[in-house]
Amino acid sequence: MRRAGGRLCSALRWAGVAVGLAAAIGCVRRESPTLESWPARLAATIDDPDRKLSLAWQGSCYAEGGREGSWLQRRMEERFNVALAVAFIPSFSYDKAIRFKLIGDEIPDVFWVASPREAARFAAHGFTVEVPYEAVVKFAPDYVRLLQEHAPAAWMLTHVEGRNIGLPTFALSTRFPLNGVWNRTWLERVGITEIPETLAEFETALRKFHTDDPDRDGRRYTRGMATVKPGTGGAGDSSFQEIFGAHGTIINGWMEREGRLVSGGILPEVRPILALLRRWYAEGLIHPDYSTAPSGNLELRNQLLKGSVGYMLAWGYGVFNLENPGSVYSLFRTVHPDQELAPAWFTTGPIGACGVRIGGGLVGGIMLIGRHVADAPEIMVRVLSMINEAARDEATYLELHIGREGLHWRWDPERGILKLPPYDRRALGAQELLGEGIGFDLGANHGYFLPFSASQKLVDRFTPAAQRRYRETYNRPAWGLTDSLALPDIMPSATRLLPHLAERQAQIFASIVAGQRPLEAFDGFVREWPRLGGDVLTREANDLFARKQAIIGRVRALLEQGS
Amino acid sequence: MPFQRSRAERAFDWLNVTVLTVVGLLALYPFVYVVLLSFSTAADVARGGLLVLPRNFSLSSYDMVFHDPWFLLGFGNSLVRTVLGVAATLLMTSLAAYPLSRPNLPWRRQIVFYILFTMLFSGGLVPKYLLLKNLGLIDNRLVLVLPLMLTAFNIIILKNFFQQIPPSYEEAAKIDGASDFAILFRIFLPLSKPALATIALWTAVIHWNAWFDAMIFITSNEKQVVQIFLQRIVIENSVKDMQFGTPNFNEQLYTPDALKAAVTVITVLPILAVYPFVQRYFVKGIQLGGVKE
Repeated sequence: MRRAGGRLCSALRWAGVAVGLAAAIGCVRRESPTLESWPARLAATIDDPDRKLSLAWQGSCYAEGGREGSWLQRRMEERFNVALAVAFIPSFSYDKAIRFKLIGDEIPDVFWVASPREAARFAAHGFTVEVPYEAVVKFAPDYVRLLQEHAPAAWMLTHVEGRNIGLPTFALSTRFPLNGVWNRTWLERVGITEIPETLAEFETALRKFHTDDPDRDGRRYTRGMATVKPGTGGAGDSSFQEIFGAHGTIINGWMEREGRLVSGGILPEVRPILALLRRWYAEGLIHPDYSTAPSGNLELRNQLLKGSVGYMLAWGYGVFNLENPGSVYSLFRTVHPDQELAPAWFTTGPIGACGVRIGGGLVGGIMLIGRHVADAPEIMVRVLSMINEAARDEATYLELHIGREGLHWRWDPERGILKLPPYDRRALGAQELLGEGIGFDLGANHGYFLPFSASQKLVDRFTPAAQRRYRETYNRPAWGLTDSLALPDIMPSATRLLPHLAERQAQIFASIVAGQRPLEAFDGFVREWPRLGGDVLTREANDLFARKQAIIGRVRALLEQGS
Repeated sequence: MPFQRSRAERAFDWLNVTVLTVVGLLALYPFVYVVLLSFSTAADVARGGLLVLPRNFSLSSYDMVFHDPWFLLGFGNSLVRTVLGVAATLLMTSLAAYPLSRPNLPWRRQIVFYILFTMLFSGGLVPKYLLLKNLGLIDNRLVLVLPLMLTAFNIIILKNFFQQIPPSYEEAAKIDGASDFAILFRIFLPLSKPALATIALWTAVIHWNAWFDAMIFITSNEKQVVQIFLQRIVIENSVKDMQFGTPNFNEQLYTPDALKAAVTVITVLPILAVYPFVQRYFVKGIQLGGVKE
């Protein structure tokens, strides 16, 4: 009896293993949609505006605080005769959570991703359908014009192997370089009466901040400047970008040299800049915790507020907006009522260059169309029409981004767009999916459904005069340094190779600056860079670069034909 | 003759008390500091130099948190999840552990083996997602309760505890005509309070702190848990207070550091409130894991 039981038990165990293996090996095969005829079917599709369509729409993850049936959702449904199914994924987990949705075949009709790499990956896995250039120009010509005007290189972000895989978005804020801020009181106390402009003046000010006790507390612990943690920042390593900019270089992107693209981080001109920073660090002009402090601009702000440093790269007008009690300057005046801040000029270097990296209107956000739309092309036509309407009509754009004037916001010529109660509580506005700005506001939520900026003309109309003057004085686009390709991570191998390379570069540069490695470590990094995959990335970047004008020109030509 | 302690022993006792007091205060101070930050103004936090008491008492951080429309809803969802989760876990674990504790159950060893086997590995997150999706549990509040309802560890703990109960209780009950359900609910469970309290506390802490499952499986804010909203408040506002262009958002006088502190205090308070009531069971319960059959 016991032997029989043992044999049965063994049989059950093996049966369990077999079932488990079968489940692991077996995979559910989905039917691939017939996509060869997709562009032709799409071109022949006519959308009937009177026909109500059901759309599953996974919007921008930055508008995560919304609710089902929000004001904006209902307005979109009324305006465009659609029934929208929305979902809200926390932004800090969006990249993970959206993958589960796609793997589980819960592919929305429209969904947003944060980077071209993600878009290319999803397209490669068959979760999306192509968005032919012809269809975009035909059904959303005004949106195409908006892109052509403000971010013509945006089409590089959605170009994969000759096809367009999605709709790029743009953000006006990335056209304007954001300047820094000086502690003006400290400058005066150390005998500097003018805001530093040249690199030499900049260095002198930093040195005096460290040696001349500008905070008058009898101790010498103040430093000149702070910077963001290496390897952080939306476009890769953004530390000391104003110093690299003063030499006409960006270290986290592609720069054109003699007709070819080279990674900015391995250019010969980077070496003397690292030597300069290394000397500054050794002299104590740079906050020593910059490479180990928490990442993000919040840490910079804290160092300025605590009186640890006298300069930092900031975020433009909003820092100085005394109307906003939460602005950096307001908080600074509360902590140091006897001190003042002043906007900084971009530091001009030995070759007359100055500025910081800008996106040139580009942002990584891309709207993708789910593959199930291949069976219902009228959905894509409707979506493109919706986007086009917001791009075409300013009143529609405003309503579908920040809500209705008089109900959700009002315009004040001095202070700008002001939220009306109760939407002056950010969370309440977010619940109704109301955006926080219309294009010039860095980090502003551009909207759940239509996450792109307004046109420059519309933004200027709603920008207070003081803010416009500040922008024209301190944030001129001419001072922005752009990636010669478009964005640094749109190459096919970027997902595989770029993160490690970028991390390695950040580590090497930070350790050189901090004196932990000799300057020769930069030469070693330049030598090893190709071996680590840099040669593959360079080849792919140059291949895309060679086709850049053709890619951008193709859309322009279609638009001109359509006109 | 009364016991006399030597000078060395008394000195050692004083040293012991002093050292442990210092260590205890050092362990306690970070929490005190967090509470201090949560009740401080933005200016005081930025200025630094805070020690024990706020320089200027402020509720602005709590005001920020409690005025988030999702916060109270999330708090409620977490409470419901925790209460339901604990109740479901205790019920199902009892129903699983009781028969396994009976020596006359056929194939008992094999069943226990299969249960233990599941502790060695899991199927992974993707298969779990697909399974839950096929069960219709995605964006369903039950997804926060059902998957965590039964764990092998809890079953083994309770099974071992049931096995310690003298068989005479069961025999007497059977003589009186009690069914197995009656024996379980009217005899075994009342005698198993330490084990049940321990499992309840572990489960409650797990449910209250859980956020990963909500992050992946819940896609509507009405059903989200408080941990997700708290993460969002901290992450969003640590970035958004840097922006320029929203001059009249009515969130003034707070700073992300104080906000994080307020969030921490709010998150910890419910468990702190419950713990004193169950800790007398907890000490005994810790020993349960060491009981061998």
